[in-house]
Amino acid sequence: MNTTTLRMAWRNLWRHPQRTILMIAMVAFGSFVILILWGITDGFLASMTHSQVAQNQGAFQIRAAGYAEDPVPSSGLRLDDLVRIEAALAGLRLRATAPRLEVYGMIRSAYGSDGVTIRGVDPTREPRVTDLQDSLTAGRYLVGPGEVLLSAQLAADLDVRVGERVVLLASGADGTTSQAFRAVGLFSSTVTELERVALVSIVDARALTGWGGVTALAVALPPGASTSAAVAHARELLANQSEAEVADYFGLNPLARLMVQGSTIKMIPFVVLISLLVGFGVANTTFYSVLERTREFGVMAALGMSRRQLARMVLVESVFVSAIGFAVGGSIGYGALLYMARVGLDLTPLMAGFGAELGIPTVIYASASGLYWLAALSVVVFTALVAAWYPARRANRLEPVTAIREG
Amino acid sequence: MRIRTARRRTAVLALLVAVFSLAVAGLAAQSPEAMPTATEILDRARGAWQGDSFHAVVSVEVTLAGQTKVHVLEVWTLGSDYALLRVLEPKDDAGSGYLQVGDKLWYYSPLVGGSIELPSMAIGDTLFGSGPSIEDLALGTLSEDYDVTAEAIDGGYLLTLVPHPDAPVVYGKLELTVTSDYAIERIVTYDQRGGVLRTATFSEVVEVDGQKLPTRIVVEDASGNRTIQRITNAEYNLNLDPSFFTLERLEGAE
Repeated sequence: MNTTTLRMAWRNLWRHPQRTILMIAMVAFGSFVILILWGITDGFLASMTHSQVAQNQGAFQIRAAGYAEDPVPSSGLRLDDLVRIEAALAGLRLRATAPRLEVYGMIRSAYGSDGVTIRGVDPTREPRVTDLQDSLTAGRYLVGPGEVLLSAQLAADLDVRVGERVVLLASGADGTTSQAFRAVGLFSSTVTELERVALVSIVDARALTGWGGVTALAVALPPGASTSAAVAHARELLANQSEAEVADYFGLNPLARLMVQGSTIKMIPFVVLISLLVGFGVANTTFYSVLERTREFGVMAALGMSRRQLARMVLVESVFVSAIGFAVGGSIGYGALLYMARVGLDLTPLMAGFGAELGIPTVIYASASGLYWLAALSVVVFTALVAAWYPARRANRLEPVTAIREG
Repeated sequence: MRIRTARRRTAVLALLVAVFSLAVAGLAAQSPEAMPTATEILDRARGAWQGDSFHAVVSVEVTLAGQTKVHVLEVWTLGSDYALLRVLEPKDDAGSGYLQVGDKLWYYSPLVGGSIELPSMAIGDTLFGSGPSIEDLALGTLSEDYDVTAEAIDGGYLLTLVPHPDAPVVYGKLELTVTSDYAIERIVTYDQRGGVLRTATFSEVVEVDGQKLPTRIVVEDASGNRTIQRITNAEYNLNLDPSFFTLERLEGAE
C-alpha cells in the first residue's frame, strides 16, 4: 500500500464531511456504549465485592476443612489448630487477621423475633480486618462482652434502640441457650447478608455455643496486594495442615462467581448487537458512497488504477472512519469511566431509598481498569473489515467501460 | 404458609401450660396476718399446681390486624413437662396438634400425615402472632431473672418485677396484680421505654376440684391485637401418667 492510496482515501472522506462525521459518530457511539456499560457492570460487581471484603468477610478466610458442608461451630477450628495456622501464616504479607465464631440463632426484642447469624468477634482485632466501625449510624462499636452490634435494618424491624436489651438464642451443646445483650451500636451496610448478622464479643459466642474454638479466621491484606496471589501463597503455607482450608471470595460467595460469569456472558450478545448495528450503519453509508462514485471509479480505472487499488482505497476509508470513531468514543468513554470510578454515579435521587433496601449501592462506581477497549474494538474490526467488504468487493469488480457508461 | 402457621401455633401449647400453672391460685391460702414478702406472694400466686394433671377445652379467639379467628383446642397437661394439644376447630386444621415432652416439641397434621419435631427455639414465638409469648407467662425463672417488690393495694397486692441487668428478658418490667387470695388478676408487660406492651387480664374465676381457675384470659397488646381464651370443661387430677403423652396419641392412633 502506498501513501497515495492513504491520501486519496483521506481526501475522499472529507469530500463529504457531514457524512464522514456521521459515520465516525456512529462508531464512536458504539464504542462508547460498550465501554460504559461494561465498565459500569464491572464497577458494580467490584463495589459489591469491595463492600463484602471490607465490611463483611475480609480478603479471604481460613476455615476448617469441611466446615462449608456442615456450618456449625463444632465443625470449626480448635484453638490449637488456630495457633498453628497463625504461625504458618506469619510468612504471608498481610494487614491483620481476626478470629470469628459464627452460629445461626435467633434474636428477640420486646416487639418481635427474627433469625440471625450470631457472629462472635474479637472487638480489638476485628476492626483491623473489617471497617464496619466506619458505617455506624448510631452508638459505638463493640468493646466487651454483653454487647451486641446490629444492622439498622434489623433494629428497625425489631424496634430496638441503642442502649436497649435484646436476647440472643443459639443451639448450645445441651439445648437452646439464651443470653441478654445490650445494643451498643447500629450499622448500615449495602451488604444484604449483614442485615441479619448480630455482632457480639467472641467470649459471649463461646458461652452461647459451648464451643471454645473459632469457625473462621478472617484475613485482611495490605492495600494494593493481589488477593489471588495471597490466597495461593496461603494455600502453599497451609499445605501440610489438612484440617484447614483457604476460602477465597468465591469460596465464601458461591453466588458471586455465577454473577460475575453471568455478567460477562450477558455482555457478549450485547457487544455483538452493537457491532452489528454500527457495522450496518457504516456499511450502508459506505455502500452508497461507492455506488455514487461508480463513474469516478471507472475513470480512475481507465487512467490505470488497478481494481485491487480501488478496493483497498474503499477499505482504507472505512478503516479511517472506524479508527477515528474508536479514538473519539474510546477517549470519551474512558474519560467518563475514570470520572465515575473516582466520583461515582450518584443514583440516590433516582432510587429514592429503595436501593439501600435491595442492598444495591446508590452510588455506582465504574471500573476503568478492564480491557473493555478490546470489546469496543470488536465494533471497529467489524465495521472496518466486514462492513466495508461488500462495497470494496463492488469496487474490485468494476469494469471501467461499463462503469463510465452507467455512472 | 403452613410452615409459618405451624411455627406460630407452636406457642399455644407451651402458653397454655404456662397459663394454667400460673393462674391457678394456691389452695391453702391462709389468711395473711402480716403482709407476706414479695417472693412469697409470687410463689403462692404461681400455685402449688405443679405435678398435677389437667384437661380442658379452650377456645382461643385471636384478633390480629382487625381480623378475628377462633380456634378450639383440647388440652391435656401433666406438670410442666408433659402436654398434648389437639385442634378441634377450625375444620381445616382439625386433628392436628402438638406434643411436648420435656424440652422436645412435635407438631402433627393429618395433611402432612406424620409428626415433625420442631426446633425448641420456636417456643419463643408469640401466640398466633399476637398476645403473650411463652416467656411472659411461663414465669418459671421469675425469681431468678427479676427483682420482685410488692405493695399492698385495695383487694390484694401489686407485684413489680424488674429484670436483672443480665437476665435474658426483653421487657422493661412486669406488673402483676394479685388478689388477697393469691389469684393473679392482671399482668401488665412494659417495654424498656416504660410503655405498656400488653396487658393480660384473668377473670371469671371458677372453682374446679377445689382449685381456683380463671376461665377467661384476655391479652391485649399495644397495637390493638387481642386474644381471648375461654376455658371450659376443666378437670384436675385425671390420673394421667407420662405414658399418655406419646406420638401415637398425638397422631390420633391412641
